[in-house]
This record gives sequence, C-alpha cells and structure tokens, in this order.
Amino acid sequence: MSKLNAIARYELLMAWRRRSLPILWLLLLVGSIFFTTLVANSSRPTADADQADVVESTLAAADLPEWAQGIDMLVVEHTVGLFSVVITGMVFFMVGVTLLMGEVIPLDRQFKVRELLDTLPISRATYLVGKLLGAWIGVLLGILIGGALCVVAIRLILGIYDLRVFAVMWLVMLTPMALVAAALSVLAGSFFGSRRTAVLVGLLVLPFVMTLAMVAVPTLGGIGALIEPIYALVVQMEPSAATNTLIGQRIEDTLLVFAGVVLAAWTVVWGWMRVRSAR
Amino acid sequence: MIEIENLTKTYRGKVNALNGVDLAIGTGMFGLVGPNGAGKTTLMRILAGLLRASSGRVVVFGHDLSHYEERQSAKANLGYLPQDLGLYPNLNATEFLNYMAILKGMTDKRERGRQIDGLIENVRLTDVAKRRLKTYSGGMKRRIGIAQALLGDPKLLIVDEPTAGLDPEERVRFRNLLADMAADRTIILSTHIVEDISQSCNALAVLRGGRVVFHGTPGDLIERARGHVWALTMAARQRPDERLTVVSSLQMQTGTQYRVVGDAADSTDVVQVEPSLEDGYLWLMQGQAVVG
Repeated sequence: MSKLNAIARYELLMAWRRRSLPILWLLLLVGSIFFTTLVANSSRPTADADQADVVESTLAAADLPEWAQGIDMLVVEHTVGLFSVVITGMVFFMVGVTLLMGEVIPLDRQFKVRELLDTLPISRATYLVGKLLGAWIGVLLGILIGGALCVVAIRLILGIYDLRVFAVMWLVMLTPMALVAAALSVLAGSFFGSRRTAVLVGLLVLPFVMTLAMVAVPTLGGIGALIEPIYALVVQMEPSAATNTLIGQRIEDTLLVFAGVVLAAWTVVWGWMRVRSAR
Repeated sequence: MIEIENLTKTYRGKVNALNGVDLAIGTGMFGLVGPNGAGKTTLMRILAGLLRASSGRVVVFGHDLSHYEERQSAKANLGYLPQDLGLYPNLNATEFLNYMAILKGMTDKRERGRQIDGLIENVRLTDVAKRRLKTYSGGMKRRIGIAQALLGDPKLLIVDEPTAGLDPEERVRFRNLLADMAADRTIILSTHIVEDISQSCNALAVLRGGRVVFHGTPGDLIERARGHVWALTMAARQRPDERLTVVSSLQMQTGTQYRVVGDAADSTDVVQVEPSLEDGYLWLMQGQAVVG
C-alpha cells in the first residue's frame, strides 16, 4: 500500500512541478468562467425589453404546477443556464486531461527511469494503479479547487443560483468523465516512450472520450432533478417521481459503462506489459 | 551466491548476445569485462530481472529468475545502477531517494530518512540535496545513481560502468566505498576501466562474443600475460609490428617508448616488463582474436 501511495504522491508532485496540473486546472477555470460570462450576458434583460415580456413571464410562473410553486424562477433560470457552463468546463477540462495526462508513463521512459523502476520489487499492477491514482487525484483536486473558485465566480458574475444543484452537476458530470478521460489517456500513453507521442496519442483518444461524454451528458445532467424536480427540465424530462427513478437508474448504468471501459483498457495495458516483460 | 548455468540470450533477428554462459559468483566484488557487444550489459540486465533468458538457469540467492514471483523476491535484495541512468528532473535528491527507498520496500520512515541522509553525505551531495535534479551535472547525477543503488543495504549490487563521468578523486572514493561494502555482499561491477577491477575485485570474468573466455582472479589473468609484455623504444615514425598490441606509447627525446603485448622476443631493443591486469586482458583478447 505504501508503494502505491508513493507512486501516486510523487506522480502528483511531479505533475504539479512540470506545470501539467496548473495548466489543467486553469483550463477548467477559464472555460467555466468564460461561459458563465456568456450566460450572464444572454440572460440579462435588455433595457428596451417591453412590459409585455414581463407580464408573460409572471403568467408563466402562475401557471406552474403545484410542486413548482414557491420556487424562485430566477434562481431556476440561472441554475439551468449553468448546465451549459458545466458542459463547457467539462469540454475544456477533458481536452486538457486527454492531452496532458498521457505523458505520465512515457515520461518515465523519456527520463530513462523506467529501467531503474523495473529493477525494484513493485508489480506491474502496482505501478499502473499508482500512476492512474496519481493522475486521478490531480484531476479530482482540479475539479474540487476549480469548483470552489467557480462557485464564487458564478455568484459574482451571474448572481443567485441553486448552489446544491450546481455542485452535484459539477461533481457528477465532471468527475466520471474526467476520470475516464485520464485513465484512457494514461493507459494509451503507456504504449509509447515520449511525451510528444503521448500528446499525439491523446489526440487519437480525444474523439472517443468526447463521444462518450456527449452520450453521457444528457443522462448525468439530470442529477439536479434528484434535488429539485424542476431540474429534470435540464435534460428535457417531465419532473416526477418516476422521472427521478429513471434518471437515477440511467446515471448508475452510465457509471457502470464508464467503469467497464476503464477496466477493459486497464486489462489490455496490463496484459501488454506482462507480454513485454516476458521477452 | 549467484549460479548461472548454460545461459543463452537471443534477441530478435537471431542475435546471440549470450551463448552458454556458466558462472558462479560468491560474496565480494566480481568484475565483468569485455569489449563492446560482448554481452556484459545483457548478462547484468538478466541478473537484475530486466530481461528473460532464452534458455539456461539463473539462481540469485536461491531465487530462480525464470519465475515471476522469484524474480520479484530477488529484486527485494538488489541494488542496480544502469549504465544510462535517468532521474526525475523535477525532484530533488532527497525526494528522489525517498521515492526509490519506499519502492524498495523501506517502510520505516525514520530509518529511511537516516539512510538517505547518510548516503547523500557519502556521495558528498549534502549541500545540494534540496536542489532539483535537473540542475545537477553529469557527475552529480551519477553520484545520486550510486546512492539509490545502495539504498536498502542490498545483498546484490549490480553496477554498470559506475565510475563513468566521475572525476579521479570521486572514482577512487566510490571504488573504496564499494570495496568496503563487498565484505558481506555480492557486487558485480562491469567496466571498461580495467584499473577499477584490479584495485577492487577478487574475481572477474571476461566476456567476448557472448561467451566467458576467462573466469578467475585478477592474479590469474595477470599471470597469463607473464613473458608477453615488453617495453621497446623506436625511432620517430617507426611503429611496432602489427602483430603486437600497443598498450601505451610515450614520446621521448630518443624516440617513442612503447609498451606492447605479444610475442616480441625476436625484436631488437626490447625489454620484458612486469604484466598488469590490463596487459593480461589484452593478451587474452589477442589470443581470442587469433582463435577467432
């Protein structure tokens, strides 16, 4: 366990010092804040908005079903807008993760440390899991720190919003996607021996990761409904108890698929390392 | 004890790097010499568990290296310094050694810290221990490599060209450090610098073309050259017979004085001299070339 911990810890330290992590975290922050500004500008009422729009909006609120009564529609509007902020942040972050995390294993070869590591009493699995953990912790820290900064930035730029819904959307949409992207990038990179090739491989992995993300976004984005039913509207579903069950089930299925993808990739790489060491 | 029986390594393209090597290596310093491509590095990489043998058997302290688990157990008692050592540029010396120590299985933090500090002092890097490794010179990096190999007090130490890149003073220091450690462990030293072996090894093997062409003590190898080492002085622009191997040449006012290995008894102005290990090695290689 201490070996695994050491690999992950030092991987994190080295990623920080070679500036991969700060760049990654900055990408997430810049993407999110930039899009928050766009959302804020688009939702701000213009000076010449006529009285009719305001009346229509008030009537629409009055027509809301019973469960939605008492909900601050401005908060809902802002929070729904944050769905696209999270998606933008996620896209920026995943591009960064896929391109920057692939270097983790190739750098050991590029720095000529791999031969030394291979003479140490650590198993292939420990090495691989340690490297993955290091990358994952870096990604998770980015999500947490980026999230905390975004919470403040969004409040300043956009105004009031539902913090609980934003927080779960941020965590549930970003975390699994970023972890899968990091895992695929680290594992795909392990076939190669230099940072440059790892980035090129990241470019090949990126479309696959993005496809996964695009398929999963409509499911994961529904997480807000589990807090307030009205947020089922984010994923264009009718707010109801049945919808919530369905959303919960879909999220579970999506996470299982993600875990399967990571496990399959891990098995392939582990098997390849095993074959390679038998030469 | 390390036992190597009929060891063969064939790379892709049917390149025979090792061809039926038999060796038994006990406690103490063991030198491995031979020309480039002789198979020294391949042999050391097999002993370090980095390569698998094509055939034959290698047993390191009772662990048969043909099995993965046994290989892992053997690695727990191994210190290795590769010829082309790399370091993590963004770590400092203490961090790098701490990382390696944990991976070697040193779990006691206090003991680890004590040993790391001692080794850094031994290789004279205390003043720069907190500096990033990317700022180190080639010699300093080599010294860190030596320190990491000594971490965990390994029973088997494999060092490939350990003194390359070190200045003469450091070379002597490191040689003495190894010699001190050799009392209760096996140290396998591969080098092109025959002097390193003559000063510190109690046994050596000479490899050529993937085969062991000599296995014995430095004294045995020196004895082989006895009667075949000569000093001869020649006028400027004259060169010794092509059949003789020139060990050294010294420009003098009267001409050039050569130290040669070979059969020069029929030449004029020759004086037989006491052989050194280097002479023994060259005489052996000359004989092998004739046989070849």
